Amino acid sequence: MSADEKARAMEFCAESIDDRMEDGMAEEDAVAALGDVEDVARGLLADRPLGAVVRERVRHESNAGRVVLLICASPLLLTLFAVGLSVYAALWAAMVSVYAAVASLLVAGAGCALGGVALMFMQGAAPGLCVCGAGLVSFALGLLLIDPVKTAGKGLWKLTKAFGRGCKRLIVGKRRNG
Amino acid sequence: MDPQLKRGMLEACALAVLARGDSYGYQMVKDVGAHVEVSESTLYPILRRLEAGGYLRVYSREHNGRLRKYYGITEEGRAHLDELRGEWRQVLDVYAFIMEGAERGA
Repeated sequence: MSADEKARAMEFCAESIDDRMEDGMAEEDAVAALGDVEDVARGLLADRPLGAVVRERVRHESNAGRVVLLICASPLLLTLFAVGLSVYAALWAAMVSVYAAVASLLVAGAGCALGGVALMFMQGAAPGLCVCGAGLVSFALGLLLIDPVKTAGKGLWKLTKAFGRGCKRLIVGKRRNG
Repeated sequence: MDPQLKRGMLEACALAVLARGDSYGYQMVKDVGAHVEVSESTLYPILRRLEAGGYLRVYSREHNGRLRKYYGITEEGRAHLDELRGEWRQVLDVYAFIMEGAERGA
């Protein structure tokens, strides 16, 4: 329940206590006659839609579990979450493929270079040098790509975090309401 | 009385009281309490729901040096009360059916 809602309920109860005391009732009796305060809270919460109740809780005590609960409680958010997750899965799958390609260039390049040296002794200098050269080119290409791929990976990670923060702000709101 | 049934009845009672004139929490408890057992803790959530639905308007007026909140019924509230009154025949029919079942079982 929001602070404003609590304040309004308290104000209503305080006014009734004053009215009862004006009517000649003792303060203790007036307070007792109001009934169970939990009934007020239960009655107010029962009239609120699930999404509003969950959103209120997330605003007060935001953590990952509550955000997940909010997403699960809203069909629209659930759909958006699924779309976002799919985009991220595709992006990270592409990133993993690029890492694998660089690793392949390095491993295959080193293998070819060593194989080329062996080939020189077995089948002559020309084919051996060709294979060794191709291997070295592949290895060099792999080395050259390491830094750009690492930078792209870091960028994607930052983008992931920024997107996550944006989603949380969208769901929870920019500031917490007391 | 069943709490859910009571809530529905109290909603109609609150609107019926306000249809006679603007009132405040304690006075409404007294007016409705003459017919159904009610306290502020039960009435307040109903008033808030009616207010949120646009059936009531709320304003403050000074009384003995303090502000007292008054409730008044809106046009939507009157229309809603008319609807509830119109449903009374159906409610009686349902109760007649329930009582008929009880009489047969007896």
